[in-house]
Amino acid sequence: MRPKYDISNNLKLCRLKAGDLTQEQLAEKVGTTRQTILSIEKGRYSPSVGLALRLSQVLGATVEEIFELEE
Amino acid sequence: MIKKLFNRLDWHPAHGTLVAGAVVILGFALSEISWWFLSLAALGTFGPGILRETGLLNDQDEFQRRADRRAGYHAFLTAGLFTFLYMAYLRSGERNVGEAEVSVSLILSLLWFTWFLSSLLSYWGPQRTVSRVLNAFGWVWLVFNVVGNLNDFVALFMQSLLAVPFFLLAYVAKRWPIIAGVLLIVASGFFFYLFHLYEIFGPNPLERGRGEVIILFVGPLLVSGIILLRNKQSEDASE
Repeated sequence: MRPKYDISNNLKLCRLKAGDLTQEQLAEKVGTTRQTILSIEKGRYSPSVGLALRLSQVLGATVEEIFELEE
Repeated sequence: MIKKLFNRLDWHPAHGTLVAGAVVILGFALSEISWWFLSLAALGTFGPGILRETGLLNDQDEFQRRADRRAGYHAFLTAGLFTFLYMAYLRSGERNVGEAEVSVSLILSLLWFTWFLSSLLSYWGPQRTVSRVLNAFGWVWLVFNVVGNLNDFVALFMQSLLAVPFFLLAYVAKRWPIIAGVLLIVASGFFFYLFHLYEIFGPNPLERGRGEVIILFVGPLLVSGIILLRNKQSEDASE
């Protein structure tokens, strides 16, 4: 059986820490839609490495602070 | 105003998808004049995907691209499996399935509705999707009922009551998904018998629009029930 990686995230927390950004504002800053941010926060979507890095850049947090591999 | 509506619906389609949706509706509307206009619906359904795959249109972000591809794969699995089984059925004896266009419409409906439902699931998640599908069923029933019974208030009132279970189930789906899931599966079985849909296994399987009723009504109820039961995590009802 191939391993399945479950990824949890603290995006909402990081977003609020980074100046109380709304989902819409964050989406605009990283060049995506609010739907994408919402889906990541709800755990329904794991972003690409590119988007994860862009989120980390915009939020001033490391990728590991935003995303975690679940055991 | 349109942006507000989409925000309210929590649905942010790409611009190409919006234009394509309008072209599809126009195609179906104009097909009343000539069936050739149905090609407009084909253009709207498949055009954006072809343009995106050839790199001529770049209007989606990565989440929308993934939702689109996932929905396409689900449509391929469902319609492909059905087509193979249907072919086996047709080739294995003398069959009476009516005009060829009935079969083709059935396969197209299955393809299109699987794609649509899967897209909605990606955007809204299980509970909201199921709840909104059920609300849509309720509203469609009400609209048809009002249009059909304008002169008969009693019939209008009595038949409108049939929409209530859909709205109730939509409410339950948002709050108690497991209960709603079980109820939906039971309801799909009930309607399968009520509308004699088991006759699809008989000598004239597609007679009286049985295939369409399954794909457009009973199938979505069953799939919605399964989706809710498989949904491990309960979503926040207020999201």
